[in-house]
Amino acid sequence: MGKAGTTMLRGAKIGLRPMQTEDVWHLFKWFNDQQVLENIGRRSGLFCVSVEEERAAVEMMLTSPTNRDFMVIDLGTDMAVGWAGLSEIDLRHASARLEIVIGDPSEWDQGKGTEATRMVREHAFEVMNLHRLHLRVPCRNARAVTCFMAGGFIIEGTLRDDHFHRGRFASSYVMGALRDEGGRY
Amino acid sequence: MLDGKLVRLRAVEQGDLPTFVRWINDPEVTEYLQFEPPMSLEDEVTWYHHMLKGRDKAFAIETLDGRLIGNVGLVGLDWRNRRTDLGIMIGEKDAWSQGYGTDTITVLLRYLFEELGLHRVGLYADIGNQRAIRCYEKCGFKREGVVRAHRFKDGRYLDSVLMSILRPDWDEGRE
Repeated sequence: MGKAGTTMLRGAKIGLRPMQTEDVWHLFKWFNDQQVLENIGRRSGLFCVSVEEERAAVEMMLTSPTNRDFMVIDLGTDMAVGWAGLSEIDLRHASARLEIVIGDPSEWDQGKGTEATRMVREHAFEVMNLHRLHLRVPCRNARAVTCFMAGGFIIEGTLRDDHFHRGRFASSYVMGALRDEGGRY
Repeated sequence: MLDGKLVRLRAVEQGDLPTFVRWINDPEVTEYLQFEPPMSLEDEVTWYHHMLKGRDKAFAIETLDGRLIGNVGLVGLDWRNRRTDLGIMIGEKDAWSQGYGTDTITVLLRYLFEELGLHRVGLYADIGNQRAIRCYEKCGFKREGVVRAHRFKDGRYLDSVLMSILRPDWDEGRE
């Protein structure tokens, strides 16, 4: 599936292909990695997520009309290295929430998240005809904030103490990108 | 509710359906419209429940003093492409040619362009329905072409005129 050019949006280093049921195994692995979980402030879950829970989550994502989920594929190795999803898609107001996770820490700091951000952003604006993307990211996650800024997002505000992390409350940024601003990525 | 100069658009209620059925079964009313009379009240109730669940949306048209005179509906509302088609019926014949249709379309277009942010509103008019075509043109619709043999009625195929108004047309008309 990953090799078929027509089913993938191709960038320079990475491609995006639609998420499928068997990707549960990737997500199960990534969302059980403490390094990954550390700074994404995932909304749900207590400790580790089971395959069954992840399967149910994927089934929801694949069948929901307000979700559009992609796997981030390394074009060099043809392996899935992350997940990029739009949720809360609101066509009336032309907005959606973006989430991107590069799941394998050895793939970090290579610009893959930034490229995925730009590609999903372009897809959202040029294909899905959306006007606004928004996301929430813990303030301490400098890597992600840098990535999203490079991908055309700005910090719109701070959600003070919106989650509990390592013994204390911590804050998140709300970041947003509009279709008509900031030139053409 | 949407108020115009002459009409008010409100949601369709169950109690409106018998009136709608009376209009649909009047051949003069539906001469140029896409209905297949005879239609029963039960057919209309089925349509109503289908509409409540689906993407199509209809409004009842009242005069400002509360008399039900017609209905107008969105067909195939498409958010991604930000467009819809519409269909209108003024069912009370003594309300024809008094500007109610024009006012209805104007009020509805303002809502579709300025509140819903649509980019295109299209419709098909029977090629013989000159009164309707004039009304649509007055509202800013442009003719895009003739759709040949678009409708089968009384044993023969009839052409329709395809018309549309785009958001820039609407803005230009407001200036």
